[in-house]
This record gives sequence, structure tokens and C-alpha cells, in this order.
Amino acid sequence: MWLIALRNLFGEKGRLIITIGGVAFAVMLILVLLGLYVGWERQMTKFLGNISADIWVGQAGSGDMSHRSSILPANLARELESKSYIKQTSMFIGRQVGVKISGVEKSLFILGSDGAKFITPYRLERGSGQPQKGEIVVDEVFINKNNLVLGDSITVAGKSLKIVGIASGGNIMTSSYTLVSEEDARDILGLNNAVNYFLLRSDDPTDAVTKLEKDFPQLKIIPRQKFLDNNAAIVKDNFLPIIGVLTLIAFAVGIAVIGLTIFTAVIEKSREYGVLKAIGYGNGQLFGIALIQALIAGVLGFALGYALTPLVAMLAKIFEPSFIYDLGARETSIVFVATILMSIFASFLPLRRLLKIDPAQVFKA
Amino acid sequence: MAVLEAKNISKSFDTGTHTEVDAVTDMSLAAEAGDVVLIMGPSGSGKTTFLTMLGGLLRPSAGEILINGQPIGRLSSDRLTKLRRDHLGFIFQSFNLLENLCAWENVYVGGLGVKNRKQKAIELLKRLGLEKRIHQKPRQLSGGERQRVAIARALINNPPIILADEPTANLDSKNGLEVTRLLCEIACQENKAVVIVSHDQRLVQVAKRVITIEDGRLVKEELGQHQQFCEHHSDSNKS
Repeated sequence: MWLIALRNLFGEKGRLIITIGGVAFAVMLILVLLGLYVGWERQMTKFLGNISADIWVGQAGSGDMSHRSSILPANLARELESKSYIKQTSMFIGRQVGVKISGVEKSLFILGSDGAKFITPYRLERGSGQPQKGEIVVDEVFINKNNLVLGDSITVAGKSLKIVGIASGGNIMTSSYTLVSEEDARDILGLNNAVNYFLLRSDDPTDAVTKLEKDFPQLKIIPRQKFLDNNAAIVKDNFLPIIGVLTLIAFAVGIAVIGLTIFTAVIEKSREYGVLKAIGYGNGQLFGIALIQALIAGVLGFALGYALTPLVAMLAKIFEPSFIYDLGARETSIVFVATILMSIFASFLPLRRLLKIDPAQVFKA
Repeated sequence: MAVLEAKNISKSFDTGTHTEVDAVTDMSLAAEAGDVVLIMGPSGSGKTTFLTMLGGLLRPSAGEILINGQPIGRLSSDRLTKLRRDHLGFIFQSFNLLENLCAWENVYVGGLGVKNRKQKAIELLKRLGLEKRIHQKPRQLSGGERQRVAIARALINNPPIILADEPTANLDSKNGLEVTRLLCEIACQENKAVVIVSHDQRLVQVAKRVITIEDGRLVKEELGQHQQFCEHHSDSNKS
């Protein structure tokens, strides 16, 4: 079976190239979509995950950066610090605001610096990561998309801020995290005696969460991982269904490409399949030949698609700086399994045709 | 004992207008090991339909076919497939080789389940004088060479019965004679029953029996010149 399958597949070079190209395209589409999804999911929590707090304390009903806002009185800090199970406290002052760049409205997540106690840029690319009054540290995607450079100034809520640092890892799809001094943040956001969240460190965070919930029942106590998951859920809730549909379309494209190729090959070679039936090959063996061809086409298509995907992602990033692509072994394995399934489904397309081939036709001259 | 036997078999086809056409009517045949049976008749006389039924590729409307004494009429499709693989070798008018496979691979695929398949395929091709054509694709071979590859494919699983449909029709006279000689050798030396359907009068010389059919019915059965042919070729080989 292997011999016939291999010879049939590699005997028609043109068709083989079209098949592998088609499968590679489908695989590439799935990989890019998954890479985009995983990339965004990780990106949404990259900056927040870099904030070295064990526990986030917010207003009741709060839970993430996008859906539910939180405002708490600043003097609550003293009460929290007084607890023996709390090792260190800091505050999180931040909110999305609109800024005009070259007359176009843009969104920035303005965040007050806590003097690098808990909050630092994910990765500083250039300049300073500690903004002073009148200064701002912005994300490189924001810089690239708006043709800005280090030393330029942007106006936020009537306040001119000089770009002193460029960081990466702060882009969050609709906005990007930027750091300003605490004083500027309070001015811009109008939070003179308030904060959005308190950030806490503890030697035993699990125990501390239990105690905080008991001591401050009016507050929302959120363990670090839970807070990150809540923010990642924004991507999952909004984009996963769309990406799921697009992945299914790509999957169907792959099945169609492999299936049609194998189907055409079966029709073209129906006389040869008839000969094989006549000389003692059963339907299962003939299906095996089609299946092997589909699997080989699938695996080769996957290899090509996998090799080309980083190049496509690189090109996409040149055209769109906010394009994110992040794929791990787990996602790649999922796509490989999907390709194998694609091949198996595709090999069923010519099955009916194979079953209908009459071996007696081989006696016709 | 007959290795292949057809008892009063008939085949009719529905033409789709509630009428049936009788392609074969009440035909019988018995072939023993070493027999060469030639079935002759004009085009459309039912020769190939008869051969197709003998090969288990078409079920008769009436009558019975026995291979090695086993009736095949009620066998399942899978059992019939296995029976064809183990007991029958086919040689076709248009060779029916797989175009993407070279000569030895074409023989190899005919030997499903045979041990040392590749070695046997190459040995058979060498025996049939194709040692220099082993790696050639069918399109690189002459008609005679292709038919010899097809003969090797029919022989690889060492079946007791060989069914040949117009095996010399697409060959020139030299190659036709060579194939005729090979079929005779297969019957005599390998003790196989060979049933040939043909228009080719030259094949009468290798046949033990010649059956003539017209309009699906047996009209004449006579002896062929198998013995003389064998003796002549045996003498030629000695000298």
C-alpha cells in the first residue's frame, strides 16, 4: 500500500505541489490565528504579571482592568499596613484616557509610578523607566504606530509630558500601559485622595487572602493569579469565538484541498484501482492507499506551513506593529493533530467512489 | 480434478427498459492443472463476460462456478477478493500496469502477502527476459515487454489458475508469438490451468482445447495443437 501511495503521490509533481501548498496555507492560517490568540492572551497579562504584588485589593465588584473600575480611599493604606500578615503595601493608580496625536484620538493607560516598589516597565528598551514630574514612559508599539521618538512630547488631559523612556510588553490591543509620576497620574486621573487598587506582598499570600476577606469584607481581595486570569479572560471572551470560527474555516479549507486532490487522483486512477481490486486488493486496502496519500500530503503541508508561519508573522509585524504572534509546543502539537485529523477526514471523501469501482471494468480494452 | 469449473452458467443484463439481454447462456467448462483452454468467438459473443465470471468479478445469473472444488457463488465480496488473490492470476489485453510504478514494483504489488516479494518479482522478470528493464516504467517499455511484466504480476503469488483476456491483441506478431510461448510454458512447466479468451488464431497452437462461442452459447469444442507445440519447442530448446 505504501509503495502505491508514495508512487501515486510523488508521480504527479504538479498536483503534489498544489496539495502541499494548499495544506501549508491552511496550516499557516491556523498557526497564525492561534499564535495571535495566544500572543494576545499572554500580552494582556504581561505588564500586569510583571507587577510584583501577591494580592490586589479593590473596590467590591471590581476584578479586572477593563470591565469593572475600582476606586478606594488612599488612607485605607494605613489600615492594610497595620496587619501583621501584610509585608509590604503599594498603590495602583491607573485608568485609560484619550490622547490626541496629530489630531487623531488615541487611547493610553496612564499609570502612576510607585517609585519601582511594585510597578516597573515589562522591559525597558530605551531611556529611563522611572518618570519624574512632566515625563512619561510609553510602549514601543505606541511609539511606532504614531511615529514618535524619545524626547517628543505628548499632551494628556492638557498636561504636556516628555517621552523619557520606551518600554515593551505594555501593549494591550485597544491601549497600552504608560508610566507617569504619581503626582501627574493623580492630576490627570483626578484621584487626589484615592487609588484604584492596593498592591500587597505577604509571606503567605493564601493565608493573607483569607484573613483580608475576614478583616475587610467590604473590599474585593483578589489573589495575583486570579487577577491575571480575569484580565486574560477579556481576550478569551471576546476573541476566542471569532478565532475559533476562522480556525474552523481554515480547517475546512485544508480538508477540501487534501480531499479534492485525493478524490481527483482516485478518479484519474480508477482503472488502476479496478486492476488492484481484480488482483485481490480489498476495499480496506484501497482506502489505506488513499489514507496514506492524504496523511503524507498533510504532514508535508504541515511542515511547510510551520516553516513559513514565522516569516508571515514577521511580515505582518512590519505592516502592523501591534501584531502579536506567540506559539508554544502545545499549540503547535494541537495544529499537528488537527492536520492529521484533516487528512483522515479528507481521505473519506473518495471512499464512496472507491467502493463503487467495478473491478470487471479492467477487462474493457 | 478440475481446478476451475463452470457449470451451466448464464448471465443476463437489465438494459434498463424492463428487458434483459442474455450475454452468456448455459455455458460449462472444466480446466485441470496443465490445461490451456482457448475460448474463441466473434466480438460481442460473450467471451469476456464468461471470463469475468470465471474470475469471480461478475456473479452469474444462473449456474455455478467452482475454484478448487469450492463454489464461489455465495462467497462474500471480501472472501472473493481473497480467493482472487490466492488462486487466480489475470492477464489483460491492455496490460493494465500501474503507470507510476516501475516493472519490478508492478510485479511486486501483485504479490500481496507473498514472502520475499521484491526478490520474487525480480526473479520472475529475469526469467521472462526483462532483467535489463526491471527499473523501467511501463511507458518506457514496448508492448511485448509490458505484457511480460503483466504475466510476471499474474504469476508472483503462484496461483493455480491464469485467466488471460486477449493477451496478444495489442502485440505485433513476434511479441504475440513470444507471449503465446510463455502461456504454454506456464501451463506445461508450472502445471497451471490457463484459460485464454482471444480472436488470435495463433493461440490455437498452444491450446489443449478450443471452445467457440457465439451469441453467448457454446457452439463448438475441439482439441488444440498444444502437444505438437510443446514437443516442437522442447526439441528447439534441446537443439
